[in-house]
Parts: sequence; C-alpha cells; structure tokens
Amino acid sequence: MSTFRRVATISFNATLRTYLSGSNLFWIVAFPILLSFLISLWLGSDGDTAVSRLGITYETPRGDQASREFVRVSKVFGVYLIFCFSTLLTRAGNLHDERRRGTLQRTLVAGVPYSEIVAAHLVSLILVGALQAVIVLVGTGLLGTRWLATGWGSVILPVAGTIFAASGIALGIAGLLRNPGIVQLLAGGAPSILALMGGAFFPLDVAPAGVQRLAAVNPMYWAMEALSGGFVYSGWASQAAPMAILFLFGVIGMVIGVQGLRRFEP
Amino acid sequence: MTASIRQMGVITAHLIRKVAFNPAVVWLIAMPLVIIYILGITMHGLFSAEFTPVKPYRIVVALPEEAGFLVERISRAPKHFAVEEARDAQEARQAVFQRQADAAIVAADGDEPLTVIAPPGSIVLEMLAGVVQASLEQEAQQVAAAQPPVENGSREESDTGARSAGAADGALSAMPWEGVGSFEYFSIGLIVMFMAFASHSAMVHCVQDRSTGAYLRIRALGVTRAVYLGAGITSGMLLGAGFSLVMAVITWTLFRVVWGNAAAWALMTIAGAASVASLSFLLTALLPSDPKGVENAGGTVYSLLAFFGGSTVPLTIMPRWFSEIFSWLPNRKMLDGYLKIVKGAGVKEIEQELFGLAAAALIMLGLAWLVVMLLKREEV
Repeated sequence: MSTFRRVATISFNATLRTYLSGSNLFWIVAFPILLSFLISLWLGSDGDTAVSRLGITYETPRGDQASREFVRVSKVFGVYLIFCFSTLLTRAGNLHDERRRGTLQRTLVAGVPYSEIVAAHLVSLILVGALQAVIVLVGTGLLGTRWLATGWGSVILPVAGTIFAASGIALGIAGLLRNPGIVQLLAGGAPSILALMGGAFFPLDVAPAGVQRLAAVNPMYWAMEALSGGFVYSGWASQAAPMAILFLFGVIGMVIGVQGLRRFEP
Repeated sequence: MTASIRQMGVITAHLIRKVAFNPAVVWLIAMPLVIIYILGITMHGLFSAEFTPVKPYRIVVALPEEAGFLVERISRAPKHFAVEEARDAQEARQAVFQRQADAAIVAADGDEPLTVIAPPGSIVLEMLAGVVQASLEQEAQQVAAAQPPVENGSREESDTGARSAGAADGALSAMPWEGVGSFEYFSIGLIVMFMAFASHSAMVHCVQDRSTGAYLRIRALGVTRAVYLGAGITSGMLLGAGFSLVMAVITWTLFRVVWGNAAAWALMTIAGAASVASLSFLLTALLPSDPKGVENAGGTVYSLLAFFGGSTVPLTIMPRWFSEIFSWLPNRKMLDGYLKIVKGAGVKEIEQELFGLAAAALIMLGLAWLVVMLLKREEV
C-alpha cells in the first residue's frame, strides 16, 4: 500500500470514528449550532439601530447593505471559532490515547512508519475541522445566518485559515503535552478565553491596551480580522494579511508538533 | 434516628474528604481565578461608566462650511476623536474603506443629510452617532432660541462633547446593577458557576461508590438508601458552601471584591448551595448510574446554566428580553442576590432571591426523591 493510501485510510477512519460517536456529534456540531442560533436571536438588529434611531444616515465602509450582516455573522463565527479550536485540541490528544491503549504500537508492528501515523493524525485533524465547518455553517445558515451575504470568499477564507491554524496549534500541543487531562483542560478553557481576548464577541476597543496588544498573538483575533476584511472592507486585499498570519500559526504549530511527537516515538 | 444521623455524618465527612483532598480541587479553585482575572481585565471597559479608547478614533470629515460647528465639537473631545478633514466625501469614504480612518462623517452639501461611515456594530459608530446627534440638537436649540453664543462657551461645549461621548458609551455599558465592576461581576458569576461543579463532585463520588461496589458494602452494614443519599446531598451542599467561602476570601484578597453584609452573604450561600446540591441530586436521579455519564451531564448542564444565567456572558451584553426569560434559573437568582449584596444589600433586600432558591431546592429535591423512589426502585 502506498504512503498516500495508508495516510488517507488512517485519517479517514479517525474522522469517521469521531463523527460516529453520539456525544462527539453533540459537542462538535449540534451544540455549536444550537448556541449560535440562540445568540443570533439576540441580534435582531443589523448593526445600525442606534444610528437609525437618531435619524442619521449610516453607511458601511463598503457602502452596501449586505455587509451590515457582519454584526450577526461575526457572533456566530465567534461561537464556531470556540468549537473549532475546542474540537481540534481535544482530538489532538488521540495519538497519546492510542499509545496508552496500545493500538499505536500494534499499527507500528504492522509495518506503518511512525511518520505516516503522525501525518495521518494531522490530516484527520484537518478533515474533522473541515467536516465540522461544513455542518456548522450549513446548519447555522439554515437557521438564518447569512454567511454568503457578501460572497463566498468572505467566509471560506477565514474558515479555511481557522481550520489550518487550529490543526497546526492542536498538533503543536500534542507534541508538547502527553497528559490527556491537561490537553482536555486546555481544550475546555483556552478557546473561550482566546475568543473573548480576540474580539470575537465584543469589540476589542473596550479592552485595555495590553490586551489589545496581546491580540496580535491570538489566532482568533486574526480569524475575526479575516472575516471583517471580507465582510466590511475590501475583500481579499483586506484578508491577505490575516490569512498569512493564520497560515504562519498553523505552520509553526505543525513544526513544533512534528518535532515534539518525534520525541515520543515508541 | 441517632444512628442514622451518625452514619450520615460519617459518610458526609468521607465524601467531603474525597473531594477536598483530591488534587483536582486545585483546578477547581485555580481555573475560575484565572478566568476571573482574564475576564475582569478584558471586559473592564464594558463595566466602567466612562469610556475612553486607548487611542483616539481617527475621524475623517467632509462637511460643508455650515456644518463647521460639528467638526469643532467633535474636535473638543480629543481623547475620544482625532479629526482630519478630507477634500471630498469620496476621499473620506476611501479613508475608512482602506482602514486609514476608523470612521467618517460626510455630507456633500447643506441639503444632504449627514452620513456616518463606520464598521457595523463598532463602538466608534455608536459614539460618533451620539455625539453628532447631541451636537445637531444643541445647534437646533441655539438657532431656535436665537441666542448669541455663550462667551465662555468653549468649556461648556467641550464638556458637551465629552458627555456625549460618555453617553454613547454609557448606552453600551448600561446594566441593571450600576456600579458593579468587572472583577466583582465575574467573581460572582464564576463562583456561582463553579459552586455547582464543586457540589456535583460529591454526587459523582456517590455514583462511583455504586460502580465500585462500595455502596453495596455500606448498605450491607445497615445504612439505608435514604441515609446514603441524604449524606450525598448534604456533602454536596457543604462542598458548595465551602467552595463559595474559600473563593470569597480569595477574590477579596486578590481582586478586592467586598462581599458586603455577612448575614446576607451567608444566607445566600446556604440557599444557593442547597439549590445546586438539589439540582445535582436530580441529575443523578434522572441519569443511569454511570459516574462518567453523570459527571459529563453535570458539565453540560452547568455550562448551559452559566451561559443563560449570566455567569460567563455578562447580562450587560444580553438583550433585556433574553436576560429576563432566564431570570428564574437558580444560578441567576444567586447571581442577582450576590450582586445586590456586593452593592450593600441586607437580608431584607434579597428575600425574593432567597425564597426563589429555597423553592427551587425543595422542588428539585422532591422531584429527585420521587424519581429515586418510583423509577429506580429496583436499584439498591
């Protein structure tokens, strides 16, 4: 069997196993959709209520009506970000679980190189993230979030950048930490804090200067920047820099992850 | 009777020791403290009465001469706005579009309405709209009264500008309990949330005892099911109250949260602990006797309650109708009660919350007991 087929088989099976679990389905897709729906109920306005109330004309930077959807879309995207990072960080510990259960050793004995297992682990993270994104975006879209109000690029690019960055960071954490308990704890708490400190739910203007500066090393901040670039500003031109930074997060995470996992090679 | 009470005391003490001397208790205390610290700092601006941005917002204006008063007034809030003039409306629009400016105000000629250009949902939009409106109203009043400008008007106008900026921000940060800071709010919110987790750990240990066989051995020694479950609920309640006490001391030490009237705090803590212990018992009664399942269900239910009850998402950013429909939740009652206490309320002022919590505890306890006695009759 070729390397490609082995990596594809292992990663496909890992993805399938993830989505065949009822509790995983609830936490990875059903709960974020439900939460997004509830949050979108809050946001009946399209962002210019106060201005309309005052009788002043309002224009978005793009000058179109569609970009006013950003207020609603950004909150739902914030929820998606939390669950994307949480899901991928949780899945990152799978390799260590397999080692503990002995399935990793059995796979190695069967002749699969360790490098291919690590590669398959990374691919499965990306696949789990991609499938989650499709289901959550379609689900929330059906419940009223207008993801495509300003075109495909506005949402596809930030989502792709998020999945890549989150997968890389998750792999990096798997390479640094072996304790599943600590990984679980990180997966549970870190994404919400990153979202709040990255301006996913309220503008960072209200945060102190230090917190605003810290946002530069927060992938969720850059994901939100990529989204606002697409929805509110000049599209791809505004999204390029945030996308590049998200890509950098992903690559750095992957390098750390691969190096770290090599240390743990049985 | 005496024997039952003694047995209950021994089991309660054992359960409390199992939870309190478990290394996981460090996380139970450290985790909310870290979250309080981060949220307290990050959301400080949402809770403060006056808001000043870290850097003044860059405002580009392209206005006709007759609207010069507006530029002048916006310029008089220099901590909030830095005003630049553009050649025309198009240049102002481009400045915002290219992100060289945070917002713009344009009007091609005197007949055209003023247009504010800013990102949707942004603070600068809300602030600027407030200032523009206040300036227009003031100008209209001045024209109507046909009064000459006040000689020392610069100070007044400057104040108006700053007040308008503050008012615009005030509208954003308005909350039902004025004067409660971010550290106070999140200390209360997170304590209420994690109190439920602390309390639930006792019931999880009870369920664990079933799966390990310890429960059967205890029953074989003559302990009744009621005594064992009673001990579980009591230990849950004591753990919740103990957690709240420890956290109150720590948050006072670290974040200077003044917990106000001690009697009111104690009553609120006891009532709150009783309600979370009853909820934990109800969950345990409704679910199969699997420790992991009971633990996970608790995590899910308490996280949802924390979200809807305003522990993690502040009530300030929730629409009023949304926060009102969940005001009956026990954790929300606790949040309301503690917030009142922090603001100086006594026992009398929190009576409503206390009765609400007591009623919730009794209802949940009764329901759980019914489930245990009727539906789980076959279980020992």
